[in-house]
Amino acid sequence: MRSISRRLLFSNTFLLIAFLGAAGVILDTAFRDAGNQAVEDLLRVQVLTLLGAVVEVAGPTLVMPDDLAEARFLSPGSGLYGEIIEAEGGRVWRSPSLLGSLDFGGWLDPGESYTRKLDGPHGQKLMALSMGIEWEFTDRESRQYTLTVAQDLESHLAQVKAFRKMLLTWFSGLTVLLLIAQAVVLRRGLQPLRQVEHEIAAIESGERSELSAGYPRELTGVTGNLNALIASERGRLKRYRDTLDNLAHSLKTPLAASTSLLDESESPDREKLTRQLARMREIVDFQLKRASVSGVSGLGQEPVDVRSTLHELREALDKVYLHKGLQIDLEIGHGAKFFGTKDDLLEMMGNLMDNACKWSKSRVLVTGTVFSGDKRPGLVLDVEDDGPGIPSGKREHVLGKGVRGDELKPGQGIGLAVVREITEMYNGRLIIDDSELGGSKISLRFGDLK
Amino acid sequence: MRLLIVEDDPVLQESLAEQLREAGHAVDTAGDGEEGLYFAEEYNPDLAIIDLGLPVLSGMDLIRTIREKELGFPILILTARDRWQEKVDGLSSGADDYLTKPFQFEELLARVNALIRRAGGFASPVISCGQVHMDTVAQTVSVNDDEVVLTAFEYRLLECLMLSAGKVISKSELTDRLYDQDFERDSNVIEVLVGRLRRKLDPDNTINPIETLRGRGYRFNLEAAD
Repeated sequence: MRSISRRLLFSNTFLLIAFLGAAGVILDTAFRDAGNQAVEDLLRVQVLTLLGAVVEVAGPTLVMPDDLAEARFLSPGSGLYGEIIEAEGGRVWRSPSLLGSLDFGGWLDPGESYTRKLDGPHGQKLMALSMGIEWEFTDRESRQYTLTVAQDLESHLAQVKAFRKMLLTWFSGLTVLLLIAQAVVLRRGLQPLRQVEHEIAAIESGERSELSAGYPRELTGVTGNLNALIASERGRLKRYRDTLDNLAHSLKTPLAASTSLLDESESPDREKLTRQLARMREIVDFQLKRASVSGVSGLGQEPVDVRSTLHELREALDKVYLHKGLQIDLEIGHGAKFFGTKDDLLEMMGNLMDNACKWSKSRVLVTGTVFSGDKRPGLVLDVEDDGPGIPSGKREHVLGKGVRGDELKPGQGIGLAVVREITEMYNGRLIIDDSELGGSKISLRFGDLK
Repeated sequence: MRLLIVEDDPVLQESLAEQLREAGHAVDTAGDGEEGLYFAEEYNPDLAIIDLGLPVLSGMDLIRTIREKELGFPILILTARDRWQEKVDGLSSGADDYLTKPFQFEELLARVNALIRRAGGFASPVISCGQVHMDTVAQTVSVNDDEVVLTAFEYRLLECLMLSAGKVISKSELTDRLYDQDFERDSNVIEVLVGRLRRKLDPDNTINPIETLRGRGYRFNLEAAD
């Protein structure tokens, strides 16, 4: 069971049912025992009533008068029955209330008594109390008797049944109420955890940059540490990029100086050296660019607004290609977002749009289409121009597929190869096609279809 | 043309200056942003080449300050970082073009010439005013389709005049654009050069391309074609 709330809900439900069930059983037993005890006490009273009613006659023996205080002994089928037997096994008295036969049980020595349950003449449940006594007559002669009184348990059983029904109703209601209350409490109690889950998902998808403040005390340690981790990750990425930038700067300025010195020199090796320098430059460019690509939407990285970023880029390129009088059109769908860094988006689109401007005769068209993706919106970016296009035989080559950075030839250009690398690090695809404008159409596709 | 190079690497700075001078430009050099700003304000060059990674005042800040001071000359950025973010930032701060280090000098010169032309309002590499056509790539000049052979200095002088066609340029401004700051200013040289240019472009005195405005300077009188 992976979910905390389910785990808590299941174990609490189990405990609750076990607790309420046990409480029910205990209450039921206690009620029944108390009932039995009450019946037993009543039976004892009835035995004593009978003893008080008997009359000694000559013999000597005991007889029961016809008139008894407890009328139920006299009324047939009343549910209260009695019997007196003497030591020799003779029956002294049996209550007229008993119609049919009933086994009242055996002989008891004086001083003994016991209660038991037995079946009545019509199958009803009875409870019986037998008591052995020794009766001393006035002539000092004494004889032993066993008195048994049995009472119908029907009303007692009905009470137990009614009590059980009430117990079940109340306890079921209580269980349902407690379960609902527990679910509500759990929901409220686990709400901050759910919020953390939502916010982490939002951070992963780039909709948030960090976890919000105001979590309960028990969670602030975790959320604070997470925020610190995100911040340090971001800082590390920035330091890494700055280091690469500085490395690029410190490598390329001397390269530029050497190239410039060579331009001036009249050495016979000038051509060869120039080629070597150009190669060094391309290797440095390619490897450093590759290394500085983050490739993934870093934790807490807000998605980049494609429209505004590409507008900035277009303004820059408009300036650079002013002399060509190009028409650069942007058709970017509303809300188009790139889930990565602005740097990477600019790197890809800068290279593609710059290439398109370089090759186009008069028009460059950039379209951005959003589609509903698997986890988050997908994005397709197309850059088209009306230039000469890229022949299908050369497409693999310009993408630098299978070409290592150090195998790049001078002038081969690293633009498209770098774009492909960055695209693939974002699990995207780069496709070269023909454009309806007449030139090439390069598409970048990010995200999977739903 | 008078150019300003702001580059902190002394070898690259010296080498670029040398080659640009050979190409006929007057070149001032600065090693940091602050010095660059001083030269930009003092000489108002025709174009500045600015490295982005400068000490004291960064290249980006230098460009912003130049534009804030409403100095409108074209700016070419040199950058070693080669990141689009930086190129976009530089261009939106007021630069006009960029070049990534390292580069071939020919590429730099082509960009420099194109920017200077653009600033003069000419989009194509061939500047045409009336019957006079100047191909800035081949560095040739023709009048009525007949090629005119000019010395490097005459060519630069004509370029200055044609890029400001219709406007008056003083002798000292021409001297500034054609010679480095340490050149001994002798206005006679300009007069002699203008005279030689007139004879080469208009030997029969029919089109009168360069007008002298006494005490004020010179004006290229033929109308620019584009």
